[in-house]
Amino acid sequence: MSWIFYVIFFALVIISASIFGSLYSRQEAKEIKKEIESDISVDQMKKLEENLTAFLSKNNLSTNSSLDEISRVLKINIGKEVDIPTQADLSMPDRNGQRWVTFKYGLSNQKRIFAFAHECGHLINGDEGHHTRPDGKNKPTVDQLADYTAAAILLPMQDLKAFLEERNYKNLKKSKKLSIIKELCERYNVEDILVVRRIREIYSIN
Amino acid sequence: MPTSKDTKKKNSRNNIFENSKRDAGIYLFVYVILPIFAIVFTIAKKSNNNLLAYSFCYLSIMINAFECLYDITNRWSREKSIKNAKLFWMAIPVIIIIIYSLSQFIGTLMMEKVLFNFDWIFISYSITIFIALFDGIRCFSRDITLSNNA
Repeated sequence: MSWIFYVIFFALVIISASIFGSLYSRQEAKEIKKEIESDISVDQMKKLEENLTAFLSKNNLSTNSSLDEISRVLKINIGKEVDIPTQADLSMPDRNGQRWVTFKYGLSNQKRIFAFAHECGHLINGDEGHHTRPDGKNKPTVDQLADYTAAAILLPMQDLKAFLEERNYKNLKKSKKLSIIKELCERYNVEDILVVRRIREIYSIN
Repeated sequence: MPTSKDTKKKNSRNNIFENSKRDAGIYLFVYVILPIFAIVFTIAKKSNNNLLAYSFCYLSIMINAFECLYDITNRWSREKSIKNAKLFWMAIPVIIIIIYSLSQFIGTLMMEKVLFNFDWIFISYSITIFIALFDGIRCFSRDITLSNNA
């Protein structure tokens, strides 16, 4: 077979991979967009921020307290990975008042951190009953509110707002915004979608 | 009703480049563009009259294939995932090419003649190219989506 055949063949492979890749990416882009959009109102966000601030000041914690410090106050500990249908499951308190969060197998480090913060969010929000972090979209309102509180714990509003103002984020080009988002992901050890969503929430509240 | 499929879909670890544009860009250059050039030039320029040059064409392809295989094994993760499945299917053609190139190299040098010619085997590398390009495009597209919504 002549070399021209190989050139044509590989070119066809590249073109078809590009087409399929683009089509799949379009679908992923729609999903990412849905995840970035807020599913609670601005009033609810403000209330949750006030709630979190009140909790932190009541327990002598600063606004940029770490998740470890907050979980120590709430007596929540990191548990094992188990085969569960939800991302995380918060146990009922034992006789010492300690609770354990078990995680689903195979979660990334960042997802585990967020799921842990989500469970902390349930207690801070005063949610009663058994708590989990469900997979997928269309979560109940109580979980959407816990998600918001989790994001507020991991990406404190004042800290993040000061950071964005210092970098003049609103007036930056898209490529510069993206590098700031990546920087924030590393700094706070969270996923990029969470950072983008949190930035939008902060700008909608303020 | 939420399912574990949703987690898998959204998990960046299903992308062999873990959504790193830089990783995808370098990989596509080193393991897609360069091997295609190597294969095409080998087919175009190899000569049955000069057996040393003939065998060294296959040696260069084999070395490149070994590097590709080493890269694939470094990306392998412990838990079962779609990423590992993709890496498995990427490794198969690379291993086939290594075996073929090695047998051509050693066979030609030892027997001092061209024993066989199954160069069409290189077409199997298109599986590796397809998967790498597919995930590479997803990396770039994800960043574009995030920057558009930032």
